[in-house]
Amino acid sequence: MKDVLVNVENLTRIFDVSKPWLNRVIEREEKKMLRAVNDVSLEIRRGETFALVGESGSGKSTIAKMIVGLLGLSQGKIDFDGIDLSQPDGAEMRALRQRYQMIFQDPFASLNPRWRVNKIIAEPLRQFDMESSESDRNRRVEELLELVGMSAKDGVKFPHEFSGGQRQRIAIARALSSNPEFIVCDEPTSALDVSVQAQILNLMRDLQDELGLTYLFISHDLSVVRHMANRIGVLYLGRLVEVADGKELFRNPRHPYTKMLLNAIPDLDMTGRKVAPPDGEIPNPINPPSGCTFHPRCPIATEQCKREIPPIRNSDAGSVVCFEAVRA
Amino acid sequence: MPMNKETGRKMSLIVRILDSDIWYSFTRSKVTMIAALITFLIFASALSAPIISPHNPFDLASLSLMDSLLPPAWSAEGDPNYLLGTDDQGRDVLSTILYGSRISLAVGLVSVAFAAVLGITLGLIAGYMGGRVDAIIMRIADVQLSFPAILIALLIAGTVNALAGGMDRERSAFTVLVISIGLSFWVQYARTVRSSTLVERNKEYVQAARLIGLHPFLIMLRHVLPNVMGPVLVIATINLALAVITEATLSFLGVGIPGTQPSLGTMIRTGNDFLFSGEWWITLFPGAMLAILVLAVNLLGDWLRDALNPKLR
Amino acid sequence: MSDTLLSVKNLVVEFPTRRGILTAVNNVSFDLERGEVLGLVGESGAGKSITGSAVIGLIEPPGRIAAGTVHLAGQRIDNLPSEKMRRIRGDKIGMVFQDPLSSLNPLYSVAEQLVETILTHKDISKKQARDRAIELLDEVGIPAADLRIDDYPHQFSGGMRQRVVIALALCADPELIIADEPTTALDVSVQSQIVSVLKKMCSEHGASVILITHDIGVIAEVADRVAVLYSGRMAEIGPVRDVIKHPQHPYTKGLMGSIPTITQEGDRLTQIPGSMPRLTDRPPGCAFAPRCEMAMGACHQSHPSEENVGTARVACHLITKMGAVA
Repeated sequence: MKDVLVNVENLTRIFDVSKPWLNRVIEREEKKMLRAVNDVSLEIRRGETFALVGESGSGKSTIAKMIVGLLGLSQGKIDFDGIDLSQPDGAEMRALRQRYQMIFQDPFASLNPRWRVNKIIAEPLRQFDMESSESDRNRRVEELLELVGMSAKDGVKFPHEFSGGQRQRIAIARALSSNPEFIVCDEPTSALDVSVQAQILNLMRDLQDELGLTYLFISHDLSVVRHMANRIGVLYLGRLVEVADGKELFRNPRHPYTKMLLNAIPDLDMTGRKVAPPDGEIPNPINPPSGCTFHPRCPIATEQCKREIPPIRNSDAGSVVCFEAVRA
Repeated sequence: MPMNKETGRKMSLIVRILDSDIWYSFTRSKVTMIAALITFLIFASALSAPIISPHNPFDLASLSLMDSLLPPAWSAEGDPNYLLGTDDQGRDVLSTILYGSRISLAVGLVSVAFAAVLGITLGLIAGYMGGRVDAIIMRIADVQLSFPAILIALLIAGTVNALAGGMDRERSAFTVLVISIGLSFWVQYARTVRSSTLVERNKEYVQAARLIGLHPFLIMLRHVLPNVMGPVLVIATINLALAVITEATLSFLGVGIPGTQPSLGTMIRTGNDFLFSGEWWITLFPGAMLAILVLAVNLLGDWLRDALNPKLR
Repeated sequence: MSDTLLSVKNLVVEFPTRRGILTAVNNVSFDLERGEVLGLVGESGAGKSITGSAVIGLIEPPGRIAAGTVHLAGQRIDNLPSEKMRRIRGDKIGMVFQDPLSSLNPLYSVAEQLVETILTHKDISKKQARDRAIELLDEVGIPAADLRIDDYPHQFSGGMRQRVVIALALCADPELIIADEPTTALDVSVQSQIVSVLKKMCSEHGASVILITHDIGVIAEVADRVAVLYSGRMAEIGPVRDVIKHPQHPYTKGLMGSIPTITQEGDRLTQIPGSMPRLTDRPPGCAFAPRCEMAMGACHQSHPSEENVGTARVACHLITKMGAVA
């Protein structure tokens, strides 16, 4: 029996990107809606790392924000440990908030430049009344700094005194301070140099082993995802097109878009393989193609693909959303 | 133990200021240093007016009409007692300038503070809340801007004075001036703070605070406010000069500080009546003081704006 | 006529600040052959962008080239007056930068920008210039080039814009192209398209390329040789296959090991402890020594000179002492 920590059902998010009312009246334009997330369902099991992969316009960041409550849902629901996140209020919600946290992409913008590091890390401790006295709080902050590989003396400094990688460590320390079970990581290493990325990824895995954390890992980099994730979901224009076990996705990709992404990964092993680069670009999400939105770029698209949206086909290996893939 | 930590922190703050880029750029510009010195001198002399001023022009008992309209000490009929001459009531011009600057500066500082607090609060709320609240506040600001400052001040001052009658004018004049000048200036602060707030609101540290359920009011106060205060200091400095001139103009037009406790503007007004009969000193000296004060504060504000501009550093 | 297009020798770039002189590029030398793609790779702060800017004379004062020489096709260009350098940049050098929206003027159509550039460097009629521009857009893979040429930059998607920038860089038939992070702002599936367009265009038009990036994947796909920079100095330079598969310098080894690949097994990525020193606190001797597992006494005292090791040139005391590492 799978132990599901986070269950997402039919998640949809629509943004109103129309021009202001007056402009629309004068220019006689319709309202424009952007479906950033389109009917996404997934489950994240306790203790695993579930990765969401996609390029720009895929909706991965939007999904992350909806799960932690930074953005509202247009449709669908999100369950955390069996509790529907839209229901609780007040104290119950507060208790729930303590159980999940988020690490952001930009290490420079995710820490308040005017606050000292120890104040930044202690903020969740204060908010959730986790320690009884100031000295207990300070002690906990020092513990956290050392847990993420920094020195306790770094607490009195300001964020700008640190490099990108160190700031991300501080962000991780802040995320850990409320003792969460679940952490959403939104492209945590995309803004970092490659050697620093390796440090942070190793740290995140060590922390997961030590503290039993569950991660939702958002990224555009398939190589990083292969290294970190137990299961991977591939997003295209707001729709989840394939879900599979980590290494299996790379050995046996089923959806044509997944295959295209894998082909686009640079050949660092210098095998000299010659692969035709992917075709076309991501269409404008405001006016997506009909039917299966991938059909303009798909090498095996048929007439049916242009007309209808393929249903989700679940199997032991995972799920895939494609007419042709399941036919093969 | 805690004591030493605090002093230690304060010492390191001073060291950090002296070592900073801002101090460096300050010491490099002679003009700025002179302007700062002049501003400091004017503030200091205005503050210590009761101590350093040779006479007290507001003590009606010490005035003597015999000494009225005396020219400055270095001219033929001058009196060394009254260095810059006297006005029509026998008040020593020098002393009146000292006391007058006090009033002008007080009005300037308080009205700028009022405008800043009002503008920052409204700008923060408009920027953070967005939507209708933002639209309403900004439309009010637009309407406010379409009225020139002097007009607003005249309107408010005139109305209040008419309602209160002539009696409490001396005490109410200060409040009326501060409110009218402050109301004309808040929009600048609101606009700047609003656009900075719009930028900061989307940053991840604000999102991290929302994530843990921090109340929007606390987020605005603790997280956003410290990060949007930068341009405010520059605006406030330049505004100070403008506030002093506005007060002088209003007093000159007769709706500001009444003649019995003159500010610089009132003095210029009084002196204006005597200009063409040859008593030039009653207008010239207060006018010169006003001009020097405004110039010095403006230069300081200019330097501050350039020094704090990250792109120029 | 020799095959060497660009020759950079002992380049030193300094920035005077009130806290002293910061040396961003410290004694960097490399050659660029005709028709080759040379990658300049390094992490942030290594000095690769500044090296590129210095080569084409775009260092903003008070920064300056403090020492060394740059020769383009035999002619020395680092000491030219700015007007002459500007003309050489226009005639012989094309630039492709990270953000297409800042390379292209948003107020002018693509046609106007291309035609203006072509006419500045070639003595042909406007109609001929326009035809040439359409040809170029077609070559870089813009569909229906004759129709789209009159569009404005914002009407193109990110990848298409970058293709336009490549066309713009090549329309004066330059000998040298400098590309500074040309794919960083693009989606992954578009990156490989742009990279192959760049390579194809440069080989067809006979231009040599200096490709500056932190993305080693891009280098692996497109470069012939690669130079690895660390803290303002060259750590290693050699054929791309050798440097990536058999790195000699400890930094390059650590760097290659820390990149997750599709085929690696094993749980941990190689990590190099610490981070690159800031310009203001470089250690004496080899800048990498504090982070290097194999540092010896000499490493902390003097900077190693470059030695030939097999097909590569490496700056490392260990190599100098013990020769090539397997």
